[in-house]
Amino acid sequence: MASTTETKQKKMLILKSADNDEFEIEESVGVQSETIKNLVEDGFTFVPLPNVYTKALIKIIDYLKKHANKTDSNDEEIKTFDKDFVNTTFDDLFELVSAANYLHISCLMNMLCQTIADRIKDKSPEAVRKIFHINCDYTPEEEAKIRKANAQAFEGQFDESLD
Amino acid sequence: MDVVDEAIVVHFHEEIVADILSRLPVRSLLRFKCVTKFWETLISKPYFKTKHLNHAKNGQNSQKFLICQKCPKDRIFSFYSCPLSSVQLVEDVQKLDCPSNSKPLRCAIHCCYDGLAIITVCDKIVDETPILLLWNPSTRESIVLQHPQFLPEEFSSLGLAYDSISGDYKILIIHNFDYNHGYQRPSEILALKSGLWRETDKHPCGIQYVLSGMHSLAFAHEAFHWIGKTKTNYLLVSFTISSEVYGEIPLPEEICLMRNINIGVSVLDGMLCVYSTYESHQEEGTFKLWVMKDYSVKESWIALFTIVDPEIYIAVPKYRFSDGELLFWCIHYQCGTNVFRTSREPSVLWPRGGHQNGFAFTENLISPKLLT
Repeated sequence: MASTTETKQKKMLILKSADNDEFEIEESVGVQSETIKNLVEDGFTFVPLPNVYTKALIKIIDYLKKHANKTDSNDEEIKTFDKDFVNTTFDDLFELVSAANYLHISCLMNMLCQTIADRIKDKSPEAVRKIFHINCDYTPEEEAKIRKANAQAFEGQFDESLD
Repeated sequence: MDVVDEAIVVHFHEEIVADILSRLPVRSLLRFKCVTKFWETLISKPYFKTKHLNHAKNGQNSQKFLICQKCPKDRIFSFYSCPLSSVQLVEDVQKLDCPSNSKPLRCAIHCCYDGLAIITVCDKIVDETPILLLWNPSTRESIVLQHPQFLPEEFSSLGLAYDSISGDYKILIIHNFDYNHGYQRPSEILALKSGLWRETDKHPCGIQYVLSGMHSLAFAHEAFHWIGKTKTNYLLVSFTISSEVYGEIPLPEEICLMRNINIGVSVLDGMLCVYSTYESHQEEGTFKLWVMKDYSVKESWIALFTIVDPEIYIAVPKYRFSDGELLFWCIHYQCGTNVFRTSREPSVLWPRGGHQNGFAFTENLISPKLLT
């Protein structure tokens, strides 16, 4: 696949972020996103992304470029890249996951959701609230009731850290 | 929460939250129900539970082993849940409270499917009919099932599975051929939504069922399977879950030629496997296992491996680890107790004890109450 596209003249796309920055990428890189692919199929070469901010878009373009050049030999290199890619703060991960969801990039969604899940699984509900910036909407009585109904899940020590 | 920086507040769609949370262990999800009402509602939704189960089926960390064992001191039964992420069963074991009764004197796990188990529990040793329960050991929820006409006995087998055509879980109970009275007790089936046990049609060819009481019915390719016997031969009986049609599958030639053996059928990695324990000519206990690569094709039975161990009287495979190693439940000749071991290592993985049995299951949130 890659060789046939290279012999032809490379088709380019322009992506525009929510903060109005423009990025030129190869069409073959962009179409890993289902959202972009659908627009390209409809003849668009200029793609406004009103839900994706520049900071996240730069990282995602990096990801798409890396994964567009996947071969049998650079498997390890991509694994290292992915590991570094998700080694960031929760807030960054949340921005990326929202963007990946909007762009419909399923392998990236998978990786981000799995990373977030792995990082919160041992945490306390209080830590999870802070990480997700959620205000508790239970009354103390309601919360006590839920804790009581699931008492076995509250046995032991939990991770209170926010990273 | 003090001051929240509005710029970083992420308003996730339910879809994204569901995608993240569906990858969590059940224990984390039960705890995170108290994060916010929105999460609690989401975690309780049927579509979320199905999504979670689908992730769990492929996740190493969601595979658990449910063990039931009698304590030699006070003779009370207990349940334990162990992770199957490594062969070290005794690491990170959780003791589970027995549903319906905290100190049962008789207990048995009959089968596990998805993350649901069928168990019987009894308070007294004699003069008491045990109660039959459908139990989710991950969420600890259970419901009491109606009694079938014939309760499970020592040589009965049960199977639980999902019938995708009727969208209902079904339980099948079959009994060993009664040689004393020359009688085959009828099999019964329970569709959970109907709540009533119903006798199934008899096997058209009058095959005798050969059950050791150590196996559950093997469910694969939309059918339950167990060992049957004609006048001349052993064979595999199949019974489709939705249309309730019987079928017959030939066993490997070698099994049919053996004498005085114990045969069983199970499912490993979605494939049917049969196995037998027999005495080879040096009078050594030998266990041999075959898998059926292509369903219902006799030629596709492949001998997977053989273990020679004079200690083994009966062995039943329970789980295949990702590296191919098998977890077994065995009864030993000398002491008569049952133990768990793996195919490569004869050492015992779990403290010996009386009346122990175990089944692999996938942790999930499915609520038995909502299946009826």
